Amino acid sequence: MTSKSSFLFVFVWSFLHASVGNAYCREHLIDKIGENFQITYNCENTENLVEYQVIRQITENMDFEFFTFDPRGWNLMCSKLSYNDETVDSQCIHTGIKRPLSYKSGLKTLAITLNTGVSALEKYYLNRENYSYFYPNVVELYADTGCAIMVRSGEILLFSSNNALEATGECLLQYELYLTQKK
Amino acid sequence: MIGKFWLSKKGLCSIFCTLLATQSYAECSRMEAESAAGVGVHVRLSDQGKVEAIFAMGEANFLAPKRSLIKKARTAATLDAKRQFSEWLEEAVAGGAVATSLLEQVETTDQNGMTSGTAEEITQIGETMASATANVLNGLVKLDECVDTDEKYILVELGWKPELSAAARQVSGELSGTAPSSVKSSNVEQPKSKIIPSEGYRKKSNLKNDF
Repeated sequence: MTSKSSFLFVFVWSFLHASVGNAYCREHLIDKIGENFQITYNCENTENLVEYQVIRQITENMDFEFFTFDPRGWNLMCSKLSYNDETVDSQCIHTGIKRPLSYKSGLKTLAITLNTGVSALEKYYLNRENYSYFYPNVVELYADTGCAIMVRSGEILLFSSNNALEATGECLLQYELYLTQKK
Repeated sequence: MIGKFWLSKKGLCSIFCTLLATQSYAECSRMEAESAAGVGVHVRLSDQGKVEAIFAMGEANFLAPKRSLIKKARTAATLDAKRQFSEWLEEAVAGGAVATSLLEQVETTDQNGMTSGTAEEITQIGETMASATANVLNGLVKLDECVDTDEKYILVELGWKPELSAAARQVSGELSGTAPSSVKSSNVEQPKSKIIPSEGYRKKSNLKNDF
């Protein structure tokens, strides 16, 4: 009985662990003649540091992003709709009381820095060789993206140009796509 | 008969689409293959070991083959190429790694035994260029560009020649004075593209033939 229950526990644990470990991005593409073009990315946290999900749907005229971050802490839910490259609607619901700026799991950490200016980021871009991943690729684009992410072994640094996290959805999506391509 | 006609039309259509997709993929592959170093910086030397031209290739990804996203990626790829060029300049001035690696590159490609002279030339030209980094970066011209809509990436190749730096410096001087900016735009801007960016393409500048 004991061995059966422990087997069941191991099975359930490994199933849950596997589902977290295999988050990455799923891409759904509709690109058939006679149908409207549509591409959808559904990305979830691959690293087991903090829970987030970014869904991005792009059609010929529309660009929609749905972003959730840390349901146990920040509990952030954002949506942004652009039509013909103009932002039509952008909303964030932010109900979490805790707003952690760092997450740790094992030897890995995720550190968030808010209100970061371009000048503060330059030092990281100058030491590019220390990092395995950068988004945006050049610091000049930070003003446009409003977020930046850089990764080195065991450490993820996430920056936002203002005091909110809503712009970081783009960076986390790009990072997850990078992990998906790399796997 | 009608059924056969429709089938053949569908078949033709799918073949055409496959060819288009393959072509967009092939254009970027060809561009990378034609470039001696792929993404990164590449220096072309004359038989006498003089720096004839320097090429920098940048890369950027886009989420969907949509005009506005490709436009953003083009900017990112151009800035990426400039960044690589500027980093290369800094390293060239430091004199060490880049000159040595280029020397090694020349040793394998140049059969005239001009290695030591070439290293000096590269370091010297690096110092000259770095002393006027802004002018040099302004003097970079776009030579080639391709978009791969399947893999969703864009490559931009920029080039620099010693003459271009002088021209950029001249323009910069004129701009700080009262001269009109028409010369600068004629140097940097490319003729407007007639292609539809939502499909893969390659667009080579006429300037590339002069490099």
